Amino acid sequence: MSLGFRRRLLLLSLVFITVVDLGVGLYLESRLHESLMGRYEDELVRHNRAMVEALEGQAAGLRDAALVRSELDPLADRFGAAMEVRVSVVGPGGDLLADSELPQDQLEVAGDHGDRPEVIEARQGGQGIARRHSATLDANMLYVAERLEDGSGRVVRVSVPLSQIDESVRQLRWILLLAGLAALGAAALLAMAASRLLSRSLRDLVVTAQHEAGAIRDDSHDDEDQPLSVNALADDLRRTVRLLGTERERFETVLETMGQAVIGLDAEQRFTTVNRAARSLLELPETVEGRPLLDFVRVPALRELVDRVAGGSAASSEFDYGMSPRRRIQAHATASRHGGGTVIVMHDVTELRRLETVRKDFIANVSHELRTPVAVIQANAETLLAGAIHDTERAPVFLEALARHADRLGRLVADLLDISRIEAGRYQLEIGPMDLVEVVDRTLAGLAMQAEQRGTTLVSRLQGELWVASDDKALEQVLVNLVSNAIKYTQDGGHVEVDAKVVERTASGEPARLRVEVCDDGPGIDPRHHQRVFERFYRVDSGRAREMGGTGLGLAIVKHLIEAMGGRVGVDARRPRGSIFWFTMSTAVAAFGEGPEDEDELGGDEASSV
Amino acid sequence: MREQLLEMAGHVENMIAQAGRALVERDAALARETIAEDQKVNRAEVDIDERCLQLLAKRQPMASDLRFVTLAMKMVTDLERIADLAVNICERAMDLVDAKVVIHAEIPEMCAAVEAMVRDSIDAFVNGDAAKARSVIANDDVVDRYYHRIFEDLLRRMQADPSQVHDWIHVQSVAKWLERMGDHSTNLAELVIFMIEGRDVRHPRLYLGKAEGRSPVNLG
Repeated sequence: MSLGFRRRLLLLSLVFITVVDLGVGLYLESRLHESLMGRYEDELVRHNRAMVEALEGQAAGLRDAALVRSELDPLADRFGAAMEVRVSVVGPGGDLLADSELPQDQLEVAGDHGDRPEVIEARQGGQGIARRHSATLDANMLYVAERLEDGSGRVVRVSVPLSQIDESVRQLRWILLLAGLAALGAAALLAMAASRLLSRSLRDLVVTAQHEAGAIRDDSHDDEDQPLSVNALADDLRRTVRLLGTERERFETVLETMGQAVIGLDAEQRFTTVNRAARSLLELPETVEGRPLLDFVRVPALRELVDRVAGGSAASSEFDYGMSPRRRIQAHATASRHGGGTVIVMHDVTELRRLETVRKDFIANVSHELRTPVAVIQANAETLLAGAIHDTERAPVFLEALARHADRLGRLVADLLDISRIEAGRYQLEIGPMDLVEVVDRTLAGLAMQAEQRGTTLVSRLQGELWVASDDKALEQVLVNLVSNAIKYTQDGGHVEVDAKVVERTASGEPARLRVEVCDDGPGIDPRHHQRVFERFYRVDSGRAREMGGTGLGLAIVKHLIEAMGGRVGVDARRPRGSIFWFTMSTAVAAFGEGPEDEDELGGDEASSV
Repeated sequence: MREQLLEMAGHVENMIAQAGRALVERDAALARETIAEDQKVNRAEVDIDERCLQLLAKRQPMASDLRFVTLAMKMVTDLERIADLAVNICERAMDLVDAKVVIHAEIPEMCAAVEAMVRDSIDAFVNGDAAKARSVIANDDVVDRYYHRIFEDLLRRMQADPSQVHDWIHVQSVAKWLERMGDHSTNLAELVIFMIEGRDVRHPRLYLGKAEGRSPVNLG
């Protein structure tokens, strides 16, 4: 195939050279012919001029043609022989007066020469040139004629046979042909050498390219059989490009769908690759490729990380990012092998870290909470055993303390069990439609006594009926826990209010979701605790809470119950002071479709509270 | 230099956030860490200032380059001031670690708002986004309102419970400094607008009486 290519190359160059050679030869021949002709003409014109000068006035006075002939013909013969041309003199009547090629006696019978074109031309303009067949000599001739200006009306004419010129041209043609052949041979040799060189370098190119391509090409393809050709090379390249395209597509799909945030940076810390997770984690705009990292992410920790791995190692660090909400991000950075870039993989560990803290604190708290009553029980039991049991006056005090703390321990364990049951989904909730207003009123009535003792005012801002989807006991427990907490932590003479707002509506405009709020005007909760008050045993102020007699599980139970019913809980600071504990729940309409009553009564209430 | 400036801004943003957290979470270690970070900001201020002076002396920049260099010099000053205020807040946070007072829920909000202002003015600088810079200036009012509300409430609390006046005063200083940070961010935003548009938007009342065409020191 390679040889074929070479042969083709050679053939093509030979054809090209031949065509050029032929063209040049033909052109040269025609040019030579023309210039030879021109030279002969010039020569003839000069000869003719000389003849005219020699014959002017000769036998001018003679009238008799025979006399003139005898006078002029020998002259013509002499000149003709000297100049190797035919010299003729034509009389005014067209009769031939002298001719170097004809004997004197044949001149008379030579006929009328007055009709020859060169003679007519000479008579009219002084000189005439013609190239034609001569009837007299039966040959192709070149004629030049000129009128004699001695008043004799004669015309002198010289001519040469064209065969002379043709002979010269033929000789020249031979030379040209030989030169052409020599050039052709030389060119063929050169072409052969060039084609060999060219085909060798081409073959090298193909071999190298196929070797390179072979590294990426799949192995099932047997490249031994593949002839080394440019076509095969093109095929290889096409296959390689396609393979790379698929590879890249696969890589991008994996990158885009993975949950971890990945960013690639070049040596100047500009973005080269950013996946979707990274865009959302770092809140980046759509096109950041090519822009510096610092334009968008100015976290010192991340920058230090990138600087740290610039040496070629891998490293990780953790930092906070963003504001609402602030997230904790763990980042692993690796220097990429080529070009000094960096690849950073990040995950959001906010939730992980939060749960770790919760678990750590839970263990510490639960042991503390359990230890206190156990220690008291132990101490009292020991005292009784040591003899105090026989002291009828003081024994009841110890026994009472023992019973009180046993009771507390019992409640604690019961609460813990409740929570774990709710968490495991084994706490049977019977969710049905119920009137929130009625439940709130019932709860507040139940807690009225406790409130009265502390001089706290309890107010429900709900009126009419408000049907929600909930478990009766669970809802009441939630409200009791929240309201009694509020009473406990509000100083004497405080105010506690229960209110509800619509946070979501169905397509038809009916309330779909309510946010029930328990507001107090106590000292409020430090913002650092807001996230954590719903954790088990989490204490804002441990000493004070325990003296209120809480188990530290009230809010945790609230959270678990509400979440089991598909709601959310939270606490906000109330302005200017106090706290708002809130939870959300579905209305009966949203949960069961058609509610038992319409919720029009909410109308007035909403307007006042939203 | 632009990179250095952005890096410094990153430190400052981080310091505001950490100062706020140290205060709210009563985290003395975080406060100390933040105070240590101030060294980097100071270093950056000195470096950037020096580079700006060298640039001015050696290259004699023109038009927008000159605006950029002078702007950078002014920006580092404001950034450094913000970092110093963050250090002050951290010192107060360390004093307040054991205090019983309930810190206003509005303090972290105010802190986030100030951090957003600094971040937005730097973003505006990066993207040449004059609209964003203007929104920063508008946000200063929000921060001011926070400050006034906290101040009023603190007054009331101090009158009600004079035993904790000492701690309340610390909280008040924190609010005041946050408000000052807001003012510095406004300065940053104004400088950014100057860089983008070549128009000085500071002290609008200075030019109120004069004709519209009075464009103050147009370097562009």
